[in-house]
Amino acid sequence: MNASQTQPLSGLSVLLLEDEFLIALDAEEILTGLGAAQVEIVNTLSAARDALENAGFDLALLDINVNGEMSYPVAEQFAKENVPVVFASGYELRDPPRLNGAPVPCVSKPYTRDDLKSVVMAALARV
Amino acid sequence: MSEENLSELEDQPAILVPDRPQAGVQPAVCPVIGLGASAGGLEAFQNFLAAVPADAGLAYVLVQHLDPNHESMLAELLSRRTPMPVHQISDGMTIEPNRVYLIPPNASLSIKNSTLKLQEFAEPRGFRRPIDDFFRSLALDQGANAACVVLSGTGGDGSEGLRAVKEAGGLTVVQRPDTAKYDGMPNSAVATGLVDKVLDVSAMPAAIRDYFERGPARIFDLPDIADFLLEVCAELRLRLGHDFSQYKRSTMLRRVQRRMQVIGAQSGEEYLAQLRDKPTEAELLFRDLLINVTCFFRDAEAFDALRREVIPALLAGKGAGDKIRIWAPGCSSGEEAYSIAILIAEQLTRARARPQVQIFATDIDEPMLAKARAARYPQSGVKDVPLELLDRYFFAQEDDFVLVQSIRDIVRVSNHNLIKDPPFSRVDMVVCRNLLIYLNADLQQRLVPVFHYALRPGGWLFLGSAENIASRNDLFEPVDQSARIYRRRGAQRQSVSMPLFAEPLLTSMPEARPRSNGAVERSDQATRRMLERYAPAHVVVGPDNEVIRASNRTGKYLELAEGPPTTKVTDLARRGLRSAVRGVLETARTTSKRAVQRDVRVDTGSDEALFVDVVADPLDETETLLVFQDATTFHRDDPGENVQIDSYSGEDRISHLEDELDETRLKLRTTVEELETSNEELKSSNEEMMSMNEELQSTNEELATVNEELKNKVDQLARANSDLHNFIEGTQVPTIFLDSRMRIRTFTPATRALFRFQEQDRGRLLSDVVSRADEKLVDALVRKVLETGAPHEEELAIEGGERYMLRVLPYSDAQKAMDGVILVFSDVTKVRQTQAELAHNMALARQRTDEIETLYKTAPVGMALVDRNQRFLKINKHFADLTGHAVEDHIGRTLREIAPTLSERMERPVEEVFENERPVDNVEATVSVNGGVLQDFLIDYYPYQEDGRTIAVGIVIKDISELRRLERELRRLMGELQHRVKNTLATVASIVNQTVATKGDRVELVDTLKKRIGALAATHSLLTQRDWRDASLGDIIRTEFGPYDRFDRISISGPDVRLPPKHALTLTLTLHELATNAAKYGALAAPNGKLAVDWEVREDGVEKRLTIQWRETSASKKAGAAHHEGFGTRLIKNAVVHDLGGRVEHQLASDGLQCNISVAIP
Repeated sequence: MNASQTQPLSGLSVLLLEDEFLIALDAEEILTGLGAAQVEIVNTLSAARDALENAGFDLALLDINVNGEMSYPVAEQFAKENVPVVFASGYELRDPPRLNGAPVPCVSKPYTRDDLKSVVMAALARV
Repeated sequence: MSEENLSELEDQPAILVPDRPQAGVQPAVCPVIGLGASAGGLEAFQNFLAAVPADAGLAYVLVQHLDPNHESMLAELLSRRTPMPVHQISDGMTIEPNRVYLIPPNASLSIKNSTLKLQEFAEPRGFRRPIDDFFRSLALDQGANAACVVLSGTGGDGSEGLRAVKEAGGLTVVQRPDTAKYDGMPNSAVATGLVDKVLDVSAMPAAIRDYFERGPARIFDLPDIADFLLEVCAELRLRLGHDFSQYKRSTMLRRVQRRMQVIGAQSGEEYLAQLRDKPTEAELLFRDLLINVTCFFRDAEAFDALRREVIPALLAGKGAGDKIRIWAPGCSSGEEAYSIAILIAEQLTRARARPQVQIFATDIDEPMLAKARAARYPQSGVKDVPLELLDRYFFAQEDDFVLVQSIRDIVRVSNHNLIKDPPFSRVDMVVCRNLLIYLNADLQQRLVPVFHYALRPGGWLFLGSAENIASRNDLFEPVDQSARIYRRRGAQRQSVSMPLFAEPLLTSMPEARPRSNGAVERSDQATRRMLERYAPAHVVVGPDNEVIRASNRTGKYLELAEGPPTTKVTDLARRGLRSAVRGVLETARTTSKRAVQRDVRVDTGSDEALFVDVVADPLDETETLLVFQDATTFHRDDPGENVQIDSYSGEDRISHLEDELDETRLKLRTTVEELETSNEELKSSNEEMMSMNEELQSTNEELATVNEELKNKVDQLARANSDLHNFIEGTQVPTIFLDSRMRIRTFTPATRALFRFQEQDRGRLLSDVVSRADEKLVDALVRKVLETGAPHEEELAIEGGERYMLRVLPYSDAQKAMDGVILVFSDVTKVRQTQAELAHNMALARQRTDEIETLYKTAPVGMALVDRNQRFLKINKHFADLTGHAVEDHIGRTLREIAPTLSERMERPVEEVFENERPVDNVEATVSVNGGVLQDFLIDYYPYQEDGRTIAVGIVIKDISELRRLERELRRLMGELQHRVKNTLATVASIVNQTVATKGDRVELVDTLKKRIGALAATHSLLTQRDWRDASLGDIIRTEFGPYDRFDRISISGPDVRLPPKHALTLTLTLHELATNAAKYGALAAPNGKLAVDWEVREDGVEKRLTIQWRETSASKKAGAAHHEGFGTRLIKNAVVHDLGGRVEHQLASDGLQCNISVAIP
């Protein structure tokens, strides 16, 4: 097992949009475990936009439903900045959401380390 | 030379008058043609008119026997055959040329001053002779300007009129009897001998026109007129043996002229040629010359004088054995002779003795003599006969009057030429009226001595009113000059030379030889003695063998026979003698000579046989002498001469023989005449019978027609009756016919359902019949209708629950008068039941309809019915609300007009239902109706059928928008739930991860996990209790502290604050970690430690902020030590901040932990 496989996020900066503290806590640990150098956690859409303006990210893990709001517009903004996006959702999505015509990797809550790892790798592989 | 000047030709003062000078003095503008017809007349008229040239210039008057009770269609029928106008005559019409005038029904027509007159018939129906009536008036009014035509018909109407026309100088035409449909009238007319022309009908008009166009022949202008007439007379004498040279010239001329006009001879020569060549012309002229007008009691005053002056004298002193002889030469058809006979018969009724009267009526005109023998006369002939005489001496036969036999017996009619034949002699009266006027004066002068010769001394002469014999006063003295009655003067007979003027050219009748008979009776005593004593026994027997006289001593030969006494000698003769007597009598009579039978054996009753010679010797025509002579005494050599011869002087003898000859001749003639007469009578009877037969036949035909009609009627009636009977028997309608007294006329069998009718009930009162109906009510109804005459009806309740409608109608007889009533019963029980059922069903139906209507109105669905053209037939309010139009606005309009968007979706399914006749269900449609919001509809379509045919489509439409919204909401909720559950699970997973990472001890790990998840679960419970809307902060805190059971050390206070789920859950986790730490390491772990949890809510106009103060006091020493930066503390410090945006002040003071949590709440 090489490093990219065990730590696909090695040295990368990740934005985590999650309104539930405990879930964000868990996700942060997994992301860190996957090698992420920095994990910035935001709990609102506007905070996510602010973060995108202020700093560059290598990956965005976005909860789809944030306090009842959908995060698709934010995802488009990240995609525009060429930041790979991964959606996390409690919903069973029949069709995966798309950005610029391409399906966006999704992980269903509650997810394991491996679940997240595979989608993160898929997202990164597209770039 | 005019006619008036003719008199100059006459060489003698005239005892002459022009014949019928009064006729035709004022003729019409054109000749008038009278046509008469009866049966078969229509055809004859039509043929006649079809042949009439329209411009012939004649007027035609048609007389037909018409049914008085019917409008005649004759005018219409005839006008089709002629261009001339056809007028049905009205009174006062004036004759104009080229017109047809038609007699109307039931009127007698005459013409006077060229004007047509209508009158009612004087005679009863059956005695009317309209043709005769008109022809007579025509003759009188128009004279020679008239013509009469007799056409088809039965009977003899027209003949007498024709005679009048002829006498007045008019033309007489008759249809050829064999061409006539009915030849009675033509035959009768022809029989008058007065017909100028017998023609086919189609030839008549031209002949008549020619006749009138020719006009009278101009022979008066002839210079040699006398020679012409002489030649005519010579021709007549040659042909007929009658000499007319002594005829009055004017009369002769007029009649010759007329004949010429008839046959169309233009000149004298032409006529003479005709007369020579045509054998009939002489006869016709002869007939014309003899035309005479006569009638009974013509010149009543003269006859009255005769009755007063002459007849009584004539009969005076005459006994039964006397004879009165009267001679009527020129008797024509016998009226004068019969008039005299009647007068005498009248006189004789008052006389005791009745002399034998003989009237010799003679003429040369055989047809007239035939009439005289027939003794049958039309009414016109007897008009001057006093009514009582008419009653007594005539009897009516058909339209004519016939003389009774007693009068006919007096008159002997015979053919005798006054001029050429020897006159009758020793007559008591000569009646010669209106004969002399036709003769010229010379002949008149020479006839007077003939009358003188014929009359006995003192005999009477009776002349016509225009005649006199004043010039021969030496022979006759006038008795009554005005009545023209004269009496013979002197006793001496003047000799007359017979024939008077000419030798007869034809053999006269052979003279009968006088029979030598007539023994002269002598009252000679010697003879009588001789007879009494010496003559053989004899009897004189009459024509029937009756014994008239008997001599003495007849007993030997005659005896009374058995049985009733008789005088017949054939019965009286003794046995053995009878056949001999019969034989000789018969022989003697047939031979008129003496007959003898000798040695006849007579049975005298004794042994001695007696032989007798029987002699029959005829004495005269009737009496026969029967002589019985004993054979021994009979002189066989008797020569049988039984004529006694008297000695007379020669002159006496000649005179006597002459007398006898005359008498014998007369007797013979009379006998022959009688024979002829009876023969004629038989013939005429036969003719009468024939004509009667014809009439009977025509009557029979009429009767047959009537019979046929009646039979037809009867058949119809029978059929109608049968129909009626079948109807009455067959009808199921109870019907009763009552008369006006409420008695039963008839009833239909169906009536027995209500009345106990027996057949014999007909004629009984209706009230007598037992009925199930209310009799009083029925009775009252019938009376009401009988009183008012108006129909009435009433419903009757019958015992047993039946109901009948009774109609009472007035019964009208043929005259529309009410004659009873008709009761018609109709069983309305079922009708009433059905009516009730119907009403019930209708109520049910109405109720159901109401239900349906209510459903339609109230159902929360739209309902409508559309036809094949998508037009609304029906729609409910709900549907209407959907489209936004009023209910009534839909009806008749299409879906497309009303709701275009809906129609886009609905039209196709509607068509499908019509096509397949199957419902189409659960069609969904999301439509914006009339620009409103999108609505979801669920629509059902079903076929609406009548008589198995889909005539409409029903639509049921439901708005399911709300359902769909709820469905969407549910889906959203489900998504939300999933999101929440997954988040919760993710939270739990995170808790497990963190807990596992921090706890080494497995038991503690499980306990910690259970408590952390348990706190979450407890708040979930609180939230679920509140439908996940909120949870009370106090409840959360108290639940958290529940397991610790140290309320004396814990104080909790704060207002009631409701927290949204996320706040509740985040605060629950935070407070649970605070409480766990307090129990493990903080105040609750210390023996005196205390914990206070207070919270408050502040509003500052911007937001509502909850502040929770966690204060631990007197906490254990361990608290601080243990207080490392573990999962619990991280959670306390960060969760509220991260999840709720709140603030957390967490400081570990000396006395214990103090934590302030501030968070905004909605």
